[in-house]
Amino acid sequence: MPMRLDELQRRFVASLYGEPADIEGAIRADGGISVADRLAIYRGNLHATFARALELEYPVLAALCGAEFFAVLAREFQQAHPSVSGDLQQVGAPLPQYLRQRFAGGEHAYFADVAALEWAREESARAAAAAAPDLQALGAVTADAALALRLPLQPGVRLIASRWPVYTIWQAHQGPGEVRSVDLGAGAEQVLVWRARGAQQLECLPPAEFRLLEALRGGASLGEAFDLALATDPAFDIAAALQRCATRGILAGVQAAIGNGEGRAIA
Amino acid sequence: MSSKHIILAAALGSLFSLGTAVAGDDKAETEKCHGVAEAGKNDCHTASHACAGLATTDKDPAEWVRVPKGSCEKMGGKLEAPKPI
Repeated sequence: MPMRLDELQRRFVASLYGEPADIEGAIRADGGISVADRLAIYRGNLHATFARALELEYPVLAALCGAEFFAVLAREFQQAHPSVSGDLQQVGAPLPQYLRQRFAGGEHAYFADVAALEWAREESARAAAAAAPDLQALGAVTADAALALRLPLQPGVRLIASRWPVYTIWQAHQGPGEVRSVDLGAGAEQVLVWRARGAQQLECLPPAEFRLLEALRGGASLGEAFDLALATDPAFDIAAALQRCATRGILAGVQAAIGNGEGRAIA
Repeated sequence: MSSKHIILAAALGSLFSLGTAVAGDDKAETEKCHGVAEAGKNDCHTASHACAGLATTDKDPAEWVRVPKGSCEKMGGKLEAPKPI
């Protein structure tokens, strides 16, 4: 009796991931390349395509690892997190978390944060674009309403905080020529990732401004977010920070919070 | 009214002067392809794609190298993690 199709498919996938599958007998030999070799070619393509996709999503990580180790890492990661999407742009999504565990506590622990920054760029590129805020309406908000105002950020905004200089590491790998050396002990960096003029942008932010954006993104009111930024830096200049937000284009259309928490669109 | 009210209102007021000169990400700007799709990764029709893995059939790269050997060697300095922020 022939094997059921679902059983055949299950065993085929198992064989691709190197598990004992007992499948060769179920595949017709055609007298050319042997069944075992044909399966090996399929497996090789599966790994190579996956690794190539990963390298395109994580070029800085790939450079940090070097080609040989990156191939090992891609293989290990694929084994732990096989693609669950028909879209190759999704295969790398679990990598930062995987690296966090893989390199925890070691001298390469910063790889996870570099990967998180690279994935933030990928997500930012593909995020929807929300309507821009009406800055004239914002400018006309009364002092009372200003405290409770919610300033939503564009969906493509990502905020990456690391205790390592991840922005400097990323920058060191841009452009042609030798990779500059970076002092890993140079301290924490907070990076804003967003999309403007159709391309991803990266900027290193002072801690207070990063805190403000984190709070706004988390749904805090402008008054609450301002308090958090002031707690980080008592000299924080909110007017300059909001101007930079507007100029970068990271603000989305605005909701004014009313007492009961219901939003009212004002812009 | 607290000084914070005034500072925030003034900060928002200052956005008025930027007016409509700045805007969010324009839809028209996002029409082009981004990221990996742009690099042809999802193009399954080329011969090079189909052959990508031929050279790597069933070799286990784990046998080759167990430690990163790339530009991470240039990330020097103190390897002790600084205090968490």
